[in-house]
Amino acid sequence: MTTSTVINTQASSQALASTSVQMVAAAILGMVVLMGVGFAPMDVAHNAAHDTRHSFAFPCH
Amino acid sequence: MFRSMVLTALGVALVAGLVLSAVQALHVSPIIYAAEVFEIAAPDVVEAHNDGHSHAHNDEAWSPADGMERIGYTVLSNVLSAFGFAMILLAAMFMARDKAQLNISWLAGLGWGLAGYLTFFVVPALGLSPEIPSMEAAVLEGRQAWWVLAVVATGLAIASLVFLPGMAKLAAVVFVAAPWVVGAPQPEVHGFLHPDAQAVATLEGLQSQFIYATALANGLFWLTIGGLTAYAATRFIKA
Repeated sequence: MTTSTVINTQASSQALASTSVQMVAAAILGMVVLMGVGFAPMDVAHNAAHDTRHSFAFPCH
Repeated sequence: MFRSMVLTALGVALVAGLVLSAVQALHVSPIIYAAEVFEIAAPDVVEAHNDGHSHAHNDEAWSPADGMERIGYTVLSNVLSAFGFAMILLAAMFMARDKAQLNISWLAGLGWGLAGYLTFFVVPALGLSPEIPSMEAAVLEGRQAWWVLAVVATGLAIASLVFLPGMAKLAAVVFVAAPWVVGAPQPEVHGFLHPDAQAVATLEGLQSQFIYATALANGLFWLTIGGLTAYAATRFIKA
């Protein structure tokens, strides 16, 4: 149990250091921010980003 | 490297977001404001309450006051969107460099910008026309799902054409066709339900202006963000 946790931690830190994982993380961060601005259903988010959503032709209303 | 990507994307987003905000303020927002007048005046939006007063549905949630506050939130949303696009562009540019030896330069960045314009604006907009307020449209969730499908499929189509060898490039045909096989959700009634024929004519005029205005604004935005992201990547990201 302890050994496998240590191995997993080492493996994940090596993976995090690799470039491709950072690229995927960067793309995911970009998508999450875009979803928040463009697609979040809460009225407050919609109203704040309203003109931006229309300008990018994101589906709105 | 991740940290320098975030900082680079933030810098790019500030510039590209402000460029978009300027074009938007001159050519896009005036059309939205003009169409909104009819939205508020439309009788089905206003609802009488038991206590005798009536008000519009959307006024119940907070929304920025017209004027500087509204413009401020719009600029902020533009910059945040630009940050999201810049992060995706950076990830794609570095992956293309590492896996397919595609050099990063501002000129190649313009190509990436064109690809982004096709992927995130042109193709989705061909199925779901850029809308002005008060226009009838299908259920929101269906349109959002189709928009995501169109974006993913167009991105894969361009990637297939550029990166796959020989005949495998034909996979692009499948990706181009996919959103149209599914079909963009359409409303039961097209156009505008405003009771006044004069108002409908005005709104239809605004709608066609809006398509040109957004096509121009998004084109400029994508060329700016593509070229700038690639240039900044060569300058500020060491990897």
